[in-house]
Amino acid sequence: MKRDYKVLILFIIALAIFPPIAYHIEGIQHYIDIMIFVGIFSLITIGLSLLMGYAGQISLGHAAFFGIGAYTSAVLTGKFGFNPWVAFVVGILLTAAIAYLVGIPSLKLRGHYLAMATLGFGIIIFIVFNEWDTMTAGPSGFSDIPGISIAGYDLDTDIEYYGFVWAIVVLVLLFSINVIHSRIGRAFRSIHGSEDAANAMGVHTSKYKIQIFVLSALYASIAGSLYTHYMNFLSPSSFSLFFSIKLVIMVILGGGMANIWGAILGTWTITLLGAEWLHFLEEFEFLAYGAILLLMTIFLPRGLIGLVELIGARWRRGLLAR
Amino acid sequence: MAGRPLPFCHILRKMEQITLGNQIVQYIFTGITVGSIYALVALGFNIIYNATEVINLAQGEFVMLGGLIMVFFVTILKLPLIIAFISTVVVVTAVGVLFERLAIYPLKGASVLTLIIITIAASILIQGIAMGIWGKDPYDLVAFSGRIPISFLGAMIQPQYLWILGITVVVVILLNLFFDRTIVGKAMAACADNPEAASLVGINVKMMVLFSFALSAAIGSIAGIVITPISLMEFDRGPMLAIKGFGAVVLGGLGSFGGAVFAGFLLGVIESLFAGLVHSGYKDAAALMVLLIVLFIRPSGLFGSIEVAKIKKF
Amino acid sequence: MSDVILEVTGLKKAFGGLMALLNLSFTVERGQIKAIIGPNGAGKTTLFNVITGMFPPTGGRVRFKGQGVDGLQAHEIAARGISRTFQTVELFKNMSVLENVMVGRHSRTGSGMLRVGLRLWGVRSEEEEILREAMEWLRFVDLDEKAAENAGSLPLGEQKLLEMARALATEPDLLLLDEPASGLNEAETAKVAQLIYQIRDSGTTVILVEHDMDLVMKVSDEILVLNYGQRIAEGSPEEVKSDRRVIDAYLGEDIEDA
Repeated sequence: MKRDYKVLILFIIALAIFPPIAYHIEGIQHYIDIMIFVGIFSLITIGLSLLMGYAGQISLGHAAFFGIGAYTSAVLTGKFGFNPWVAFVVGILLTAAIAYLVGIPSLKLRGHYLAMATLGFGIIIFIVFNEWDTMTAGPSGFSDIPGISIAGYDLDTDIEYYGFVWAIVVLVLLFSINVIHSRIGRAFRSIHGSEDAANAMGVHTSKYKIQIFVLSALYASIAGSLYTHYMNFLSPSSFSLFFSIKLVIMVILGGGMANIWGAILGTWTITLLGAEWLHFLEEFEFLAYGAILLLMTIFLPRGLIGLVELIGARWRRGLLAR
Repeated sequence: MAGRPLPFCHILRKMEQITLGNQIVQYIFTGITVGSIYALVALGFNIIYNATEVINLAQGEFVMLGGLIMVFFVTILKLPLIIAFISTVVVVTAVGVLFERLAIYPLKGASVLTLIIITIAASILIQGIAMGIWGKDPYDLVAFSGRIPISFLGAMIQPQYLWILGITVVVVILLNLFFDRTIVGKAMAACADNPEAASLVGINVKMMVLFSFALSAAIGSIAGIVITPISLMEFDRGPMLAIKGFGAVVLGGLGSFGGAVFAGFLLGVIESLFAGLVHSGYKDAAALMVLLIVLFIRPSGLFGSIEVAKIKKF
Repeated sequence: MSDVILEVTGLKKAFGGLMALLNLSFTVERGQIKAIIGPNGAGKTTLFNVITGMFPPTGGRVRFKGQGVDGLQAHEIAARGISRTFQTVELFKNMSVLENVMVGRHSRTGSGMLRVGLRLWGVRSEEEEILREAMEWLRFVDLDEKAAENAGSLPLGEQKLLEMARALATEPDLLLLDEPASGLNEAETAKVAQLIYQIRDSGTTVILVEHDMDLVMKVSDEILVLNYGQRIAEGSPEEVKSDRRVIDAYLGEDIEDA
C-alpha cells in the first residue's frame, strides 16, 4: 500500500485517541478547541497544497473562498432560516461558480501576474464583506448564527464538533490522496514541471489548472461553513489579506509545497503558535511570520516535512550502519 | 483625503457655489494627488523590475517607512523640514539596500514563486518592525506650507496637493535625466535590456541591482513623506499602496516609465471619481477592479508590447 | 501511391515584425524518416512549435492524416497522434523517470478527477496498465533500471532518451525529434540512431531537426533544408549534399564533412 495511505491510517488513529486522552487531563482540554481550528484551517491548506505544491500555481487570496463559504452559511441560516446543510451546499455551489469565473482569466496568467490577480481578488471580496453590511453585518460582525446538527442530533460540544470536522478532513484527505496518486495527480505535477511539455504530451493544462483551483476553493468553502457553525459569529477581519498570507505561510512552513502532510503540519504549527505563544505578543505575529517565511524560504525550502524526512533518512542510515 | 477643516465663513460662501462640475473638479484634483503616489510607487516597481525582472511586493513598505520616519524626525527630533526630508530618504534608502543584500542577493536564480514569497515575507517583517516601533495608530505630519486651501477652478485645493504634484513632477524629470544623461543611469538601462551584454562591456550588474533597490526605496520614501500630511500614515498602509501601484504598472505596461506615470494618475482619478460619484466605501475595490480588468484583458497594458508580454514568463 | 501523413502548405509565422517562417510547403510520407536542417535561426524549432500547436500559424495550413490541425491546441494535436521532444530538454524534473513516461499515457487514458478521487470502478486497472506500458517504453530506451530516480538527476544523454520514451508513450503516428543528438557523444548518438530506426520500423513516422550531419545523412530518407524560414532545398541525402544553395547556406562547412 502506498505510504500516504499508511500515514492516513496512523493519522486517523492519532486523531481518534487524542480527545479521550485530552479530555481527562486538566489543562489540555482547550487543545480540543485548538484542534478544531487546526482541522478547519487544514481543509483550506490541503487545497492550497494541491494548488501550489502539486500544480505549481499560486493563490494569495484564498481567504476569500473561506469567507464566501462562511458568510453564505451565516446569512442563509442566520438571516433567512435555511437548514444548515442546505446552506452548506449553496455555499459550495456559489464558491465553485465564483472560483470558476475568476479562475478562467486568472489562470491564463503566470508568476507575478497570477499572484497579483489572486491578491486583488481576495481584497475585493474582503471589501465586499465589510461594505455590504445589509447582508453581512459588516465590521461589527454577524452574530447568533445557529449551530449545525446531523439528523437531528445537535453538535454542540467540543468533542462532537472535533469529530465532525476531522471526519470531513479525513474524507477530503482520502479524496486528495487518491487524486495525487493517479493520472490526474501526475497531470497536475506535470504542469508544475513544464507546462509546455505537459501540453505537448496531451495534458489539457488550462482545464486542469482551473479544476484544481476550483477544487481548492471548494475545500476552503467547506472549511468556511464549518467555521461559521462553530464560531456562531463572523467578522470580516477573519478573511483579510493577512489571513490569506497566513494560509500560504502554513503551507510553506509545513512543507506542503512538496507533500500534502506538510500542509497539515504547518497548519498545526502556526495555529498552535498563534493560540499559545503569540497570543499575548500580537505585535509579534507580523514579525514572527515574516521571519519564519523568510528563513524557511532561504534555509529550509522543503519545510518542516522536509526536516522530518531528513531526520528519518539519517535515522534509517544509522540503523543500516549497525 | 480631506485636510484640516475650513474656516466657517469660507464654508458658507462655498456651499452656495458647489455644483456637480465643481465636485468633479475636486475629485479630479484629489485623484491626481493620490495618483501621484501611485505613479511614484509604480516607478519604483519598474526600476527594480527593469534591473532584475523581480517584482518587489514590499515596495509599499518603503512608502510607509518614508512617512513614519519623517514623522519621527519632524515631530520627535524636531528637525527642520528639509533636513528631515533628506535624512528620511537616506534612512529608507539604507533599508532598501539592506533588503537587497539580505533577501534578494542570496536568492538570485530562485524561482518566481520563491521571489514572490520572499518579498511578501520581507513586507510582513518590515510591517512587524514598524508596528513594534510605532504601534497601530495613524500618525500625522505637518503640511509643508500650511493647510489653508486655495481656490482653483471651483475646487478647494490643499497646498499639500501642489507639493505632491510638484515633487512628483520633479522626481519624474530627474529620473528621466538620470537614465538618459548620466553614466550610471545609462548603465542601469543597459542592464535592464541585456544583462549579459552589459556585463561584457564592464558594467557591474550586481551593483546595478543594488542601485535599483536603493533608488526605488528612495522614490518610495518620497511618496510616503509627501502624502502623510494629507492621509496620515500607519504601519500597514504598504500592501494596499503596493497593489494599487502594481495596478498602475500593468495599466501603463510593465517596464514603461512613462506608462507608469500616466497610469498612476489615471488610476488615482478613476478611484477618486468612483469614490465621489458612486460609492466611497468601495473605492479600493474599484481600483483593484482596474488591476484585474487589465490583467484579464490586456496584461501588456496601455503602452506595453503584446508580443513581449506573451514571451515573458508571466 | 504513398501515403502522406503530414502536409504543410504555404506556412507563415510572424513574431511582430519578424517572419520566422515564410511560405513553407512540404509533405512527409508515412513511414519516412525526414530530417530538417538549416543554419541556426532558420526556423526549424519554430516549425515544430507551429506543427505541434504551441503557436498558431500566421498563415497557411497544416494537414495531419488528411485533416487540418493548424489552430488546434497543443494537447489536442498530441491526442491526434503527433508527439515531440524538445531542443532544451523539458522533462518534469519534479517527478521520477517512470512518472515522466506515465504522463505520456495521459491522452490514451480517460479517468476524470471525480472517478480517481472516489476510486471508482476501473481506476486501479487503468493505473496498472499505465505503469506497465510506461515500464515497457523505459525498457525500450534501456532506462528501466532508473525508473524510481528523479528525472533531473540523469545525465544529459539519458535525459534525452527519457524524453523520447515519454513522447513514444503517447503512441504517436508522427514523432518530432528536436536535436536529439545535441550534446551527445558518439556512442550516445549511435544509440539515438538505432532507436530512430526501431521507431520507424514499429510504424511511427519520424521528423528530426538536427545539426549533426553524420547522423542526418545516415538515418534520413529525405532531407528538407531551411534558411530564413524558407525551403531552399529538399531531396535525398545525396541530392541535398551536392546542392549548391545548401552549400552556400552553410558556407560549405558541415555538409562537406558528411
